[in-house]
Amino acid sequence: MNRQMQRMLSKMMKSPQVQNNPMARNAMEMYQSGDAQGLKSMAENLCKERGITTDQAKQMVMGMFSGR
Amino acid sequence: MQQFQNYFPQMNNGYNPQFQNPYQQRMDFLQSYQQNLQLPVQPQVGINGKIVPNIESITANDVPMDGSVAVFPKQDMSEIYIKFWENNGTIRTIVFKPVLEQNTNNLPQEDKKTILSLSESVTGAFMERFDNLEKQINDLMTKPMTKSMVSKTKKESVENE
Repeated sequence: MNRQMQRMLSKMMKSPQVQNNPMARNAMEMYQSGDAQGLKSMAENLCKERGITTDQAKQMVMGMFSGR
Repeated sequence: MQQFQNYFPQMNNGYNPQFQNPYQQRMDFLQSYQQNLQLPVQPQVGINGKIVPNIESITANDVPMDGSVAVFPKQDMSEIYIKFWENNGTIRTIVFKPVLEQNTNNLPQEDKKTILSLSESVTGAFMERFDNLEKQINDLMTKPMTKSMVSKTKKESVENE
């Protein structure tokens, strides 16, 4: 399973959608290097730009799964 | 795969055929995701964006997250905003302003002010430099004069003797 995940991540990294997207590429690189603080900072920036708090974003994500 | 199915005997008893092994479900999802990744990327046709009354009316949803830029011309065409997501999750904005003519009379009032203040500061610096130079020249002019005056008086005194 872990190997499958690694393969998927590797394919995602090489895909043009990620390669042509600076934010996605940065997120993938931070994920691979284990930069949790960087990912947190990016998530906070995204929330700020969208005018919501991180708690609201969490609630929205949890709301997506609660209906199923 | 068989070994995993043995861990979920309730899945194989035929009561509920729509339920599958969760592992299998995840594998199917991963495979379909990988297949989607392999789809060729369609080249972007046209540009993203829209005409806006002001910069405040542009929301984060108007800026595409695919790495491309969005162009937002202001309704009165006095500015054009370029917005795109930076790699740290913030939106960067570049504002383009039109240059109507070479004539500075067409510049906005603020630009005129900056030109005026710039020229004042520049002329001030020049004037200060000129003053310094004038003072130095005056000093130079007075020193040789005094020397020559001294030498003349010396000569005169020798002649008189």
